[in-house]
Amino acid sequence: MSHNRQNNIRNFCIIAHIDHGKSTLADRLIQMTGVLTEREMQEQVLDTMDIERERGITIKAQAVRMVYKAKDGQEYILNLIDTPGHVDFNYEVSRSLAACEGAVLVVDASQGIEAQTLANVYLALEHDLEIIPVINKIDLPSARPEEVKKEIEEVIGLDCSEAPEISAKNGINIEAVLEQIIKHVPAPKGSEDDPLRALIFDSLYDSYKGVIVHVRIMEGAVRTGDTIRLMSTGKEFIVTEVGYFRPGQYAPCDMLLAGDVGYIAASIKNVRDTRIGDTVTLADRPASEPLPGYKKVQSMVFCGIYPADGAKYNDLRDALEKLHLNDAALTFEPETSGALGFGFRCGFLGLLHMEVIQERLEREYDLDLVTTAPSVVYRITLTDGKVMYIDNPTNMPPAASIEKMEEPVVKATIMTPEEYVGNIMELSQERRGTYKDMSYIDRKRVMLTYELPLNEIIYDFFDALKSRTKGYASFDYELIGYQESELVKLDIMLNGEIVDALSFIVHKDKAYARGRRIAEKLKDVIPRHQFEIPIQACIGGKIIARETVKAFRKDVLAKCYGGDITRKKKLLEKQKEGKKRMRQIGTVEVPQEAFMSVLKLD
Amino acid sequence: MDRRNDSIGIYIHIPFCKSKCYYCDFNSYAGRENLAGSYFDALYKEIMLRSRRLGGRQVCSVFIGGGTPSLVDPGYITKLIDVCREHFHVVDDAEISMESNPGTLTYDRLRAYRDAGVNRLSIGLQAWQDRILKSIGRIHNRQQFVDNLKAAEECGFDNINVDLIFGLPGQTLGDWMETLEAVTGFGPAKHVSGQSEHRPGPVKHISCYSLAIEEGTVFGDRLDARLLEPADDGLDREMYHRAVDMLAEKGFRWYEISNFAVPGYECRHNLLYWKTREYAGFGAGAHSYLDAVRFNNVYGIEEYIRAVDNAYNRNKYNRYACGRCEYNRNECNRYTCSSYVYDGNGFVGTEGDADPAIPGRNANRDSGEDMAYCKDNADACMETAAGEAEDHASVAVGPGRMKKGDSAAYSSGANSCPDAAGSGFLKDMDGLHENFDVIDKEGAMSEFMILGLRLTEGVSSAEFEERFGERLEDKYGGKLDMLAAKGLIEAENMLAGTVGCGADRRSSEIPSGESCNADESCKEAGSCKPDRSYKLTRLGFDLANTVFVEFI
Repeated sequence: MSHNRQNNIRNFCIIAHIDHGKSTLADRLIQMTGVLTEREMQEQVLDTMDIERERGITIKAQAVRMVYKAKDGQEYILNLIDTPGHVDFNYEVSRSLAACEGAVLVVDASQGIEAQTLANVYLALEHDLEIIPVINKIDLPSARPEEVKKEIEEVIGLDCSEAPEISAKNGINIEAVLEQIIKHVPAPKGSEDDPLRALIFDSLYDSYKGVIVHVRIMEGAVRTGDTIRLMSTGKEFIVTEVGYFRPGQYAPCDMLLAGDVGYIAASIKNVRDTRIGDTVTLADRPASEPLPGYKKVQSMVFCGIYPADGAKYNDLRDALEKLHLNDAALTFEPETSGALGFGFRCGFLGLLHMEVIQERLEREYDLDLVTTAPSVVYRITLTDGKVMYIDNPTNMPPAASIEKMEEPVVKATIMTPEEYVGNIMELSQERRGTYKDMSYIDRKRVMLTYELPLNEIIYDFFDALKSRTKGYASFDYELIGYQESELVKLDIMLNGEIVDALSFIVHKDKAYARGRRIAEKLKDVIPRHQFEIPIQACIGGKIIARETVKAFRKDVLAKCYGGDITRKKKLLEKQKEGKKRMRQIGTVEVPQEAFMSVLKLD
Repeated sequence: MDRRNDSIGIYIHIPFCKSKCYYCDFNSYAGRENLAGSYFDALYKEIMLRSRRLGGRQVCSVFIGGGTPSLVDPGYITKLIDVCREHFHVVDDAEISMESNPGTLTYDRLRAYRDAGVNRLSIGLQAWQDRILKSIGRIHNRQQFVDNLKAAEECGFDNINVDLIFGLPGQTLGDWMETLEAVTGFGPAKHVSGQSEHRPGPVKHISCYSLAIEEGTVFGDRLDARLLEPADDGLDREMYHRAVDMLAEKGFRWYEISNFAVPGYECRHNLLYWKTREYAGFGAGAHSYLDAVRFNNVYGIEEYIRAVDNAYNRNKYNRYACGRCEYNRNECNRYTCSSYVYDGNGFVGTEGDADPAIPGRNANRDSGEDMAYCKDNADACMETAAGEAEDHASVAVGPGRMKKGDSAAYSSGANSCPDAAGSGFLKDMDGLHENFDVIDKEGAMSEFMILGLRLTEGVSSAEFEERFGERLEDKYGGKLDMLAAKGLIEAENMLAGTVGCGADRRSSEIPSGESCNADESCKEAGSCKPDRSYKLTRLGFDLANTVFVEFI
C-alpha cells in the first residue's frame, strides 16, 4: 500500500536562469492541477478545508502540493518546491534540492543557456536529481528551440529529445511538462514503516503557532499529537499541526507520510531550536542516524551593520536572529566601532545576499541602519607563523608583523555575446583578473572564464559588467581558494582623526586611486561645518590623498516676510531631518549614507 | 496671555507686472493687466467679506505689495485704501506702505497715492548700475529712479524705502559700494550738490538682500544649465558686512538681517512678521496669520477671482453677528459686529446700538425685547433663499461663539480643526484659503525664536515669559548655551522699561535689577524690569539657519 502510494508522488523543483520563466511556469502548473485528491473530495474534507482556509495564515509560497490526473488515468501528487534563482543563493537552492527527486530545467528558447542555468544544473546533478529540460517562450519571434536543445545537449549533456517546447505565458503545451515529470522524475523511495526522518528545508516564525518547519518526509510518518525530536539539539516538542501546502496557504491534515512534502507546527517558541538541514524524528522511535545535512557554507562577504539609533541594538539583534531562521547562510557576531558604537559583523554569501538582508532589515523590521563597506576574509600569516583570518579591516595586525597576506579568489564564468568580449576582458583586467578560458557556446555567444580576487567583484562588478555589455552578459562565480597578494590597509582621517568604520583593505596597486576617489566622494557628502575639514586617506600613517571641505560662510535666508514664514519653517524642518541622519564622529558630522555610498565608486 | 486686543496688519497683494525679473519668484504675472478690473473688484469683496470676522480688530499697518502695485491705475489703489478704511478700524497713525517700481511714479500718480493716505513708499531700485539692472531683467534705469524719487519727495513723501540686492552675477564689490553710496546720498545725510542744504532726504529705510537663486526663475534655470555661477560666499559676505558698517555711518541702523532704517523709521508692518503678530493677507497668494492659524489665499489670479466670487455669492446675505447686511447696505447700516452674543437660541444684543440688523433664520424673533430688528427692511432682509440661510446657520454658529471683540484666540487652544478656532471665518471663505498650519504653543514659541532672532535686538526673555508663561531659559537654555559656545549667539542683561523714560532702555551697562539713571522719575516709578536678551552675533547673522534649526 505504502509503496503504491509513493509511486504516485513526485517531488520536484524548477530551476532556471532569471527571467527564463520559472514563476510563470509554476503558476501554470498550479492552474492546471487541482488542489485535492478525489478521495479527499469524496470525504468532503472540502468543508473542513474551507474552515481551515478561513483561519489559515498566508505563507510565502515556497512549496505547493498539486494533484494531477495524468494521461494514464492515475492521480498523482506533485510537490513543487520553490528555489531562489540568484547565484548568491546557491545555498538556498541546495536546501530545496535536497527535498526533491527531480528538477525541471527551464530554458528560454531565445536566450539559450545562461550562466546560472549551468550553475543550477550542476547543483542539481550534485544532488542526484533527475533533470527534465523544458524549452520556454516559444511564442517569441526570436525563439530558436532546436538550437537551444542542441546547446543543452552539448554543453550540459542532457538528452532533449523529449523536452517539451512550451510557452508558459500563453499556456501552450504545459501538460507535456506534467507528463514528463510523471514519466521521468523518480518516485520517492522511503518506507512509511521506518522510523521517522524528515528533512527541514525551510522554516517560518508565526507568532501564534511558533516556528513552523517545512519538511520532506524521507521515511516514516508524523501525526498531530506525536512527540518529535530535533536531532541536532535533541529537543522535543509535541506536534500541534501537520499539513501540506496550497498556493499561499497552509492546509492542515492528519498525517504526513514518507515521500510527502509539508509542514509541522509544534509550538516551538525559540527560533534557535530549529535548524535548516536538521532531521526531525520521533521521540519514542527515533532514527539512528540523521539525514546528511548540508555542508556549512562559507560566507564570502562581510559588512558591519549598526543601528542608527543605539537604543535599537536589541531590535537589530532580534531581527538578525529571525532572518537567520530561514536563512542559515546569514551569520552575525557582535562588534564595536569607535565611530558607530555597538553593532554586528555580518556574513553573507555575496553582495546580493547582503543587499537583500539589509533591505529586509530596513523594511520588514523597520530598522534604520548604518552599514559599513563590505569586505572579504583575508588570510594573514604572521612572522611568528600564526595564521589569522580577518574580515574586519580594523583587526589587521601591524604591517611589520605580517609575513604573508592572501585574499580569496573566485572562478568567474561570464557568458556574453561575442561583440562584448573586448569590454569584458578590459573590465576583468582592471579588476586584477587572470584569464583562464574562452569557448563558444554557439556561433554568437562566448563563455569566458576568469579568476578574479573576490574583493574586486563584491562592490559593483555585476553592474559594471551589465553596463559594458548593454545588459547581455550573465555571470556566476564560486570561491576557489586564496592567492597571495600585496594588500594594504587604507585609513581615512577626518579632521585629523582616523574613522575606523571607513577603513578598508585594498590591493597595493589600487590604493592610491581608491584613496583619492574616496576622499573626493567624502568631500561631496560631508556637509560644510563652521570650520574647515581636512579629509585624508592614508596608509600606515602616510597620507596618500587629501581633500578639504571648506567652512561655510553663509547659511541664512535674507528675506522672511509674511508669505515666507511657512516655507522657511519647512526648510528648517528639512535641515533638521538631515541633521538626524548625521553621526557625530569626533568633531565632524557625517551622514549615515557616507559609510556605504562612499564605496560605490565606479 | 490674551492677544486678542492686539492690532493687526493688512497685507494686500497686487500681482501685476510688466515683465518678470530674472530672480523673481514672487506670485506675479506679466502681461495680465487686463484682469486688473476684475481683480480689484474681487479684492474689495474679499476685504468686505472677511472684515466681518475681523472687523473688531484695529489695523495698525496696511502694506500694498506685489508684483508692481504702481503699475495699475492709481484709482484702484485709492479705492482699495478707502475700502480698507471702510471695513476695518484703521488707526489714525497707521503706516500705509506701497511698493513701486522706478519708471511708474509720475507726479500725478504720486499725488493720488498721497491723497489716498499712503505714507510710506517702497521703491525697487535693486542696483545703481544700468548694466546690472539690465542683466537682472529690470525694465527701468537709474535715471528713472532719481527722477521718481525727486517727484516723490516733492509730493511730500518723507518715508521712503529703497530695495537693493547684492551678490548679483557680475556685480563687483565696487559696484555695490557705489550703489550704497548713491542711495544713502538720498538719506538723512543728504547733501544737495552746490547748495548748502542739509535737510534730510526722503530715504529713511534701505533693504539689502543677498541674492537667492530660486527654482523656477530665469536665474534658477540658468544655474541648473550651468550657465550661471552663484556669487562666491566670501564676496557675498564681504558685501554684506561692508553694507552694515557703511549704512551705520550714514545714519541707517541695522535692525533686521536685511533691513536698515533711520531710527524711528523701522517698517512697522514687517515688524509684525518678526514679532509673530497677526496679519490678514488679501489678494492672490496672500498669506495670513489669524487666530493661531497660518494660511494663504490661492495663487492664480483667475483662481483667486473665482474663489472670492463664490464666497461672495455664498455669503452676501450673511447677517449674523459680525455680519453686515450687504443686501441693503445703504439702508441697513445700523449695525456693528461687536454688539451681539449668541446665547444658544439666537443673537442677543449687548449694547445699546440702535436697531442692529436682523440676525436671520435662527433668530428668536418672538422674544421681541431681546432681539434687534431691522424694521426698515424687514421683508428685504428675510429674502434669502432658505438654502443660504441654512448654510449660515452652520457656518456662523460654529464650534466657537461670536462674542464681543472675539477674534484672535491665541490662548484658546486652537490646535486641531481651524474652524475650532472659534470664528468660522475660514469656512466662509472656503475655496479661497489653503495650506492651514495651526500654530500651537510649541509652534508659537519656536516661531518667536526663529523670527525674533532676525532682529538685531534679538529676543527678550521677559517678553517670552509674559507671552508663554514659561522661562525662555528653561525651554531653550541648553540650545542657547550650545549656540553661545559656538559663537553664534550672545546674551545681554538689560532693563525693559514699560514707559519710555527717554533713555535707551536696552543699555547693557545697566546691572540687572537696577533702574537706569537717565531720569530721576523713572527711578522712582520702578517700572524697569530686569530682562535678558539673546541675539545673533555677527557670525550668527551669517549662519542664521544653523541657529534657527535648533529651535524648530
